[in-house]
Order: sequence, then structure tokens, then C-alpha cells
Amino acid sequence: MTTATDDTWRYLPPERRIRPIVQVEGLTRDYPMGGGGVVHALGGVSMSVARGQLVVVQGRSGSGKTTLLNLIGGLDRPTRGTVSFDGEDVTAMSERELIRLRRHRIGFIFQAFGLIPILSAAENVEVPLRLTHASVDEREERVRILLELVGLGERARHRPHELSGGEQQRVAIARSLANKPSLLIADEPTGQLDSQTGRTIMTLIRALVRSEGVTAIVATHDPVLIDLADRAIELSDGRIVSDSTAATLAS
Amino acid sequence: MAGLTTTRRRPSPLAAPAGVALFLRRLRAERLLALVLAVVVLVTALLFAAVPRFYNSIADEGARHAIRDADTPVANVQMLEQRLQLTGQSTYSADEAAAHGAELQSDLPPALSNLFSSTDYVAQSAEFSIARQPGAAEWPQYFIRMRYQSALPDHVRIVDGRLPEGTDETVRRAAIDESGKQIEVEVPVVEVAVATDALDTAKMRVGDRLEGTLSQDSQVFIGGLVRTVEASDRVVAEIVGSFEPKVADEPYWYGDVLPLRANVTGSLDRPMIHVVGLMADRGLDRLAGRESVAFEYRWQFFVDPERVDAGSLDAVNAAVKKVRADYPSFVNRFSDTTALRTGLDTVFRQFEAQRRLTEAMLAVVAIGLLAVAMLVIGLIGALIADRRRAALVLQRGRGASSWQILGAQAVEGLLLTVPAVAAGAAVALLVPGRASVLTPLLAVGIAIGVTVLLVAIALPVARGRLGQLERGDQPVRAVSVRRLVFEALAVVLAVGGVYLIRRRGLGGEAGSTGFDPFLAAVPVLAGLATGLVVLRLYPFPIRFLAWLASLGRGFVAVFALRRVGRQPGASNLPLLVLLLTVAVGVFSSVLLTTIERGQAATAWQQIGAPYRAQVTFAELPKDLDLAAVPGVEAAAPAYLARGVTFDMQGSDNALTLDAVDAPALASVTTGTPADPHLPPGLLDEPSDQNNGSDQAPVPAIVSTHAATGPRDMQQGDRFELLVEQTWISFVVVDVRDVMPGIVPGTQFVVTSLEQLQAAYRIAPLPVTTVFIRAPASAEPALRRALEGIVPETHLTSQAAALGELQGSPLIAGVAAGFRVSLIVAALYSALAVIVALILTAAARARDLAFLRTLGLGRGQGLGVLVVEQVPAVLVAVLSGIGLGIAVAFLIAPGLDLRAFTGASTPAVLRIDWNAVSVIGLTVVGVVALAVAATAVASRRRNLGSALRVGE
Repeated sequence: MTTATDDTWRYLPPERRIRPIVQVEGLTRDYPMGGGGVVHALGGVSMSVARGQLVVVQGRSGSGKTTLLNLIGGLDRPTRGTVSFDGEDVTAMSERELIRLRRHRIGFIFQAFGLIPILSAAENVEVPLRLTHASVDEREERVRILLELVGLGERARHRPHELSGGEQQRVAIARSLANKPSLLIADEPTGQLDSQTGRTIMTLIRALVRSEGVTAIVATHDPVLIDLADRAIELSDGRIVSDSTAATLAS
Repeated sequence: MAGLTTTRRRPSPLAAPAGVALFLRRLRAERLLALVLAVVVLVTALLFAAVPRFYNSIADEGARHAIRDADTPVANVQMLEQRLQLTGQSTYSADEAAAHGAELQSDLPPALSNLFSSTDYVAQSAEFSIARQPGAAEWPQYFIRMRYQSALPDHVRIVDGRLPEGTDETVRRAAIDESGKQIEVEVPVVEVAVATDALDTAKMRVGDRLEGTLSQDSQVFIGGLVRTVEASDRVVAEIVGSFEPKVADEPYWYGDVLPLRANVTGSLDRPMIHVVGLMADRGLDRLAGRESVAFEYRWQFFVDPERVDAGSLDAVNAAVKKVRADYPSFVNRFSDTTALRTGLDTVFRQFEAQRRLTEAMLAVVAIGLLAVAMLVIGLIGALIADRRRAALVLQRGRGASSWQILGAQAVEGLLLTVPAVAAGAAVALLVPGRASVLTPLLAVGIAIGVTVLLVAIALPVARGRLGQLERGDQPVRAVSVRRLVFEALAVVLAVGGVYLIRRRGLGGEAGSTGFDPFLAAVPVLAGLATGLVVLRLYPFPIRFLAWLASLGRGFVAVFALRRVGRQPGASNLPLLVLLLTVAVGVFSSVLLTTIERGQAATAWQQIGAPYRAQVTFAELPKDLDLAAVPGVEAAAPAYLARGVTFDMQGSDNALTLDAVDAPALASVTTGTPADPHLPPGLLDEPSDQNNGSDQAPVPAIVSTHAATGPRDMQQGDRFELLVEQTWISFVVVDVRDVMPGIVPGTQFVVTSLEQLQAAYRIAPLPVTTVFIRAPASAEPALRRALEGIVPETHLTSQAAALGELQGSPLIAGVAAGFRVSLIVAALYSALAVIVALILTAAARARDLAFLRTLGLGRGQGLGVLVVEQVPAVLVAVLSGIGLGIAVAFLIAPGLDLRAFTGASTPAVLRIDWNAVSVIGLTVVGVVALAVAATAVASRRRNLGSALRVGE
């Protein structure tokens, strides 16, 4: 079992203790293969993520980054171990509870953007708001604010194919923030972007973490983006091989 | 890369072998899809290769049925000669008659004579008046004809006595010679057998000797000779036996009841009873030798229905035409030439009308089904092209020219479709029926059509811009002008075709024998045009609905409607398939309903009630009480007389008088299509002592053209009828073209029996007809009861008349063809929906997977899938229903359904909304099942892998 726990909060007096937003304990995910074989995607990972941090999970392809993020976000079920989100055990949640979790508390960003091609930028951003049955006024106001926040206020009516890759990812980020989640999970958000645009996107995420008070866990294999993170966790073969804080990273 | 796209190379000669190798590799990789495509092509080829055989089969059976169903004199060939030695002709002895018959047959064209299975002949003498027994009443008077029928012993059963034999016996009888001197003459005795029914009616017995003298009336009638009776005009007919026919209605008797029962003519108070005595061949030889006795010889050639096939009817028709030119038609007057009596050409003409109608209706549905099949094949081809898109783009990127890609696609198409089509055509050989030249043509056409379709589907990838092709998410582009022009052309062609059909009919110009495939295809062209218009227009209301939905808070409806409204392409082909399926079904339903209801209406029109009992030259008891017969609910007596003299202001005519017990008839027919809705005037009680006079004319319904002359009858017109030798005045209370129970086209007067009786005060009017209301189960008891009262009663029923109309194998074939088409089209529809869903499944799964990360529930995902299908299905079903009905109405003037309904007036199209609803719901059900199957299959898809699509 590997552990990467930022547990300094434990030493604070109780009135000052802030519980971590994500607590992962002994997380294992095996995928059965044809012929009776098993692929160990994650091998007993434990970690915690403090509120308001930008945590980067890095590693090579196949190291288990996406698996870890999917398990944290409740998109997948672990073979063993638990994931606690704000003290609630995600792995024990029912499908209905998971849907509520995704609707209200977690925002996802993907490498392929995940925009619906037939919807405009504004309509893409309003999807989560429609899923939570937000009022029309609230929906329109929130969409306008978010698109302006990501710098696409003027392109609200454009369809994804009319936007550049970076713009599409910004729309995806705006969408992920629609319901004011407390956690952003981004899986290779810069994977399909050139390095300059990738950096712009990471900077935007960094800024949102600061301005919106959201926690972000970002998987990336691009080492040049790590300097924007508060903390970097490196995975290899499904295990945490390093865990560095911002200070360490800066040094 | 862009530079490579500009390279245009002609296909190299090696493209085909390379294509074969590529095909085999792809076949391994895409075996499921290839298998589905091959099966669909095979089934389509099987269907369309089998259709001509199936059609030939029902056409042959239809032709045979037409022969079997026709009356014997109509369905066979009879040659007649009338001979009388006095006029210089020789009469034939039995052997000579047989030889002459063989000679006549050998002169007939082989196309006709090859249809004959047997022949026989009849020789019948002129009629002899039977001398009255001393002390007997003046009436009835009795008459006898002597007849020889070949092969008689095989067709009768002796009830009493024996069959006649030849005898040389003569008897001496007193006579007066030309100078007025009394002499004795030798009168030949001829042995005869008489039917038991005839003996009963004529009150004769076996052993009677009937003294016959040549009837002058008969001699004038048959021999054309008037002279005083001579010794040679006399004969003694000795009844040596009585017989019954083994099968009274077998063709052997040729529809001639005279040898089987006595014929009563004259009037009720002055009856004349005519019987026929059947003699032996030696009897014929003896009588034929007498110079004063005219004989009529009939050689009868029996057509074997099993030797008839619809494919050789043209030759048979030509042969009948030639025979008609060679021999005059038989007329009831003496002629010294050989005459012909047959209705074969009429039978075949009616059959041809039915066949053309069958051909036209089946062709419309078959072409519709073919269009559905090709659309489904196109969908599967599109799915294959979609699966290979990346590979083809890669090939383009590596320098493959458009021609090479299209060439490889063509080779693949041929390699896949030719074996499937060949297999389908081979299996079609198992379908019973005559081979048709259309079978291989259709098979080849399908192979070529499918290959062209598969090539056309690859066209966008083969000729598109490479840079754009490499982009995964293709934007929804505006429709090209070229495509709009093409679609507009299809619409214009359809409109033109419909116009032509309304003008010309499906059978082409009047008198033509075939039908025009282009015009038969026009309904389908109209279907495609409607589909194109619908496809162009339906996104607009959907977008409006999406906008309306967007004003609310929900997600499912707005998202699904936006998808359909903004990305309609994916649902285009299944929508067309569904639309055409519904249209084919509804079109078939409208025609079948119209035919079924038309036949029912015709049957009601023919009988005039559920049952009709009728007697000729007899009468039914006036107090006939059928209430005791189990099941009989009501009965209405009537006096029916034909050839009644009509007079209106000097315009005289002969028409049918039908005097019915009006209140009773209302009870019999209420609630049935035969209800004549008699006007109040006929239902009134007779109140005036002067009924039937000018002051109190009897109210009557008359046919429009009852009076000769230019003017139609009108309400208030007055006229007179000669009823039982008495003039009675009538007033017209209603004018109609047809009346239930009276043959359409007949000029008639319908009145109240009670009022007519009040006007005719001389004697009770005879009841000749009874209309009866009873269920089908009552028929045996009813028949027994009526035969017990008056044995000659002829009972007919609406159900039996309907059964005869429905008995045609052609209409049964059309109905079967329609049903099979609908089932196959429904299966094609299911396949189309499934393929379309699979085609869009990857994009849908990807979209839904991303939406699930946003909190979309599984139920909402299913909701999106369902709501996406609803507009297309609704549009398809509603448009299909409208199209099916519209096409039926548009081409109705060209489809003369009278060939099947048997009605005298063109059929009015009927819609069975229940059947239409069932068709619509069936298609909805098929789509629901397809969606459910796809939804279940897509649940297995891993969310994680879906999220990685595009990475």
C-alpha cells in the first residue's frame, strides 16, 4: 500500500481542523482480462486532498491516473478500498447518490472536451443547470458569467466545431463550474492542445481554484505544467511513487 | 497530405484482384455486418425473384377458377347444327354424328382444342305434342322431345324400369292423307327414359306410351317449315324407365335442365308441360331417318381447367377469335350452318381485367417494398462505410485515388451481392408457380442496384476533401443546391406521374393488355417525393418544439428535440423506411377494405336480404309461415314479375315489377346494407277503394330510365302497368338507379304488395319470392322447410353470393401478397431502426457518457433516446397514413376495382380506420422493440471507454 496523505490538519487544534475534501484509502482497481488474467490498474493507493488545492496527478500512460480520477469521481467502482468525498464514502453510494454528487459537487473536464457538437457554447454550459432544474433566470445569468469568466462571452452562440481546441476546453471548464462544484476533476485537459494553449488552460484552472475556492485534481503527463500546481502526485504502475508540495516543487 | 488529395488516377487493371483480397480481409473484420447485409440482400432477392412465380401461380389458379366458376355453356365450347331432311339436308345417325364431331374438333385451332379433356354430343328432335287422353282436362297440355346423349349410362341412375334400347316396333294408327282420305299408317315406337322429377311433374309413369304428333310450333321454331301434319310426323314414345342424374350439376348436362325436369310454361291457369325422353342410339338412327323431323345436334367440347394457364391465354383468345370468325354465334332460329356457342372469350376477358388489376396492385406494393428494401440496404451500407471511414481516409491519405476506392467498393459490392442474390434466386425456385422471365431480370437488377448503392455510399469518403474528412466531428452543413434540385425534380416527376395515372389508369391506354411499370411505380415515386418533402420540412416544427421546450427547466425534451432538429440526417433513412412501410400498409388496407366492402355490398345488392327464396312458374303459399323454422327472424313475401308492360303518355316499355310486403321487408332488411329505406308512401296501408285508378294511383319507386325517351323519371310522374292483364295506375314517389335484390341495369318498378293487391282485386297475386332474415346457421333448416313446401324453390343467400365473389384466387393472392409485404416491410423497418441506432450509437454513447459525468441519470438517457425517436416515428406514421390514403385516392380512377367487387358502378374507396390504426401501432411497436433492444445492448457499454472516445 502506498500513502500520500497531507495530514498536517490532524495536528491542528480541533476548532481549526479542516477535513480534507477527498480521502482515498487503499484504493485498488483490477480489471479482469480474457483468459483469466487480471490487470492491476491501481494497487492500494491512499491519499488525501485538502480543500482549495490544485493537485496534479502525473505519470506515464497506463500508470493509473484516469482510473484514480474515475474512482474519485464515482465514475467507476474500486475492487478494494474507499474514497471519501467531504466525509461521505463515494464507493458505498447508490447510483442515485452518485448522480446527485456529479450534479452538485463535482465538475469533470476531459481531454476530448466532451462538448455536445449540436449545442452552442452557451447551451453546452447550461446542460448541468438544466439537469439540476435551475430556474431560467438563474441559468441564463450563470451561463453568461461563466462564459465571461473563461473569456468566451462573445462566442456564446458558436457551436464546438466553430471554436478552436483551446476555446472548446474553456467551454468545457465553464460547464464543469456551472453548478458551483467543490471539486474539479480534469483528466488530461491539455492532452489535445499545443503547449501554449495547454499552459493557458492550466493557468485558467489555477485562477479558478483561487477565485472560485474550488479544489482541482488534474491528471497530466506534461511536466511543464506541474509548476502551476500546489501539489504533484506521481503514479507509476498504479502506485504513488512521489508526492511533492508546492514548496518542494518550487525548490 | 493536401497535395495527395489532388492526385487523380484511373483505376489500374490490378484494382479488381486487389479489391478481392481487400474484400476477404474486410469480410473477416466485419463478418457480422457483412452477414447482415448478405442476408438482407438474399431475402430481398428471394422475395423479388419469387414474386413473378407467385404471381404466375395465382394467375394460373385464377384462370382455372374463372373456368370452373363459369356456367358450363360459358366455360366450354359447343358447336351446333340444325338439320331437316325436308329442306334438303341429311340428318346424322349416331355414328355419323360422332364422326362429324371429331371432324369439327380437328378443325379447331390447337391452342383451343388442346384444352379439351372430353367431348360428347347431343341430338334432340323437334317437339311432339302429346295427344290428350279421352276425358282428360284441356290443360295442362303435354309435349315431348326425343333426345340422344352420348355416354348416357355413365351419368344416370335408373330408378325404375330400364335404359331405352332400340326397337323396330311400329303401331298402326289412323291418319288422313293429302286428299282427305282416312288411311292407316305405321307409327314408329321409340323407347325413352324420363327423369323422375319430370315424370312426377307431368304425372306420367314408366310403361306409358305417349302418342306424339310433331308440334307445328316446334317445327316452325326448329325447322322453319310450316305444313300440315303428315303420317311421318307422328311417333309413339314408350317410357321404359325413369332415371335420376348421378350428379345433376355436372358439366355433362351442360347446364341444360330440360332432360332432368319438366319445363312448365304458359300461365298458371293454362300450363304447358314439356318433358324430354332420352333414347338409345338406335332410336336416334330410326327417328333421324324420318324426313319431317328436324334435329338439333350439339357437339360439346369440355375445357379442362387444369390445362389452362394464364401465360397461354393470348393464344387461346386468338384461337377463340378465329373460331368466332369461322362460325356464327348460335341463335335460336333455324340455320343450316354450323353455329358456335361459347363464352370462353368473355370469361377470359373478365379474368384479364382482374389479372391486370391484380398485377397493378401487387406491382405498386412490390415496388414500394423494393424501395424499402433498398433504403435498408443503403442504411447497412452506410453503417459499413461509417465503420470503414477511418481506414478509407487513411487510404486516401496514403495516395489511393477516388477511383481506386470506388473500384474496390464496386468489386466488394459484387462479391458480396452476387452470391447472395444467386442464393436468393435459387431458393425462389422452390416457390410453386410457373417460371418467369422477370425472375432472372429482377435478380440481376437487385445485384446491380445494391452494388451501385454501396458505391454511392462510399462516394463522400472517396471524393470528399481529405482535410475535412480527417476531422472527426463533421459540422452539419447546409443542403447543397444540387441536392435540392434533384429532390425538386423527384417531386415534379411524382406530380407528373400522378397526373398521368389519373388520366390513363394503371393499365395504360384503354384496350392495352399490359400495364405500364413506370406508372405503377409512380405511387412509390410519390411516396419518395413525400418523404423528401417531409424530410426537408419536419426539422422546422421540431426546432420550434425544441425552442418551446427550452423555455422550461427540463433537460430531456429540449436536448432530444435539439438533436433531432439540428442533426436530422441520422434519422432520415429510417424515417423514409417507416413512412413507406406505413404507406404500403395503408394503401393495401384501403384497397382490400374497398374490395371487401364492395363485394359485400354487391352480394347484398344481388340478394336483397340475408336470404331470398324464389320460384318460377309456381307460387309460394300466401300464408307461408317460416317463423317455425329455427333461426328465422322475419320474412317478407313479394310478387316479382319480369317483362311487365309499362306505359307513360304513350312511352311503353317492359320492365321488372317487384311488389313487396313493405313493412315486412323493412323488418327483414333493417340494419343491413340491403335496407331499401322505403319511402313512407309504400309503407302506408291502402285506404282508398279506388286504389290503382287515376284518382288513387299506387305509390311506386321506379328506376331512373324506366320510361323510354330522353327524360328521366321524376317524382310525381304517373304511369300504368299491365299487371296480370289489368292496367293499374301508379305514381312515382322515388326515383333510383339501383334497388337491392334487382339486377343493376334492370328497369324496375318497386311497390307495396298490399297496395298493389288492393288495386288488383281480381284474384290474389301469386307470391313468387320471399326475402328472409336469418343467421347463417339457419340455412339447412330453412332449405329443408322450403323444399318441403315447394320443391322447386331456389334459395340463395347473401353469404353464398359473397363467397362466390371472394372465391377468386386472384383476390386471395392480392390479400396474401399485401399481408406478406406488410410483414416484410415491418421487419425491414425494425432492421432500419436498429441499423440507424447502431449507426449513431457511438456518437450517442459518447454524448451520453459525457452527460452522465454531469449528472444525467440512466432513465434520462433512455428518455433522450425515446424522445429522439418520437418525432420521426410520429411524422413517419402520420405522413405514411396520409400518403397511403392519398395514393389510393389519386390512382383510384385508374384502378377499376369493379373487376373484383362485381359491382356495376365504380367502387368508392373505403378506409378501415381500425386496420389503419393497427398498421400505425405495429410500426410504433416495431420501433419501440428496436429501441429497447438497442438500449439494452448499449447498457453494456463501459462508461470509461465511452469517455475516452476521441482521445
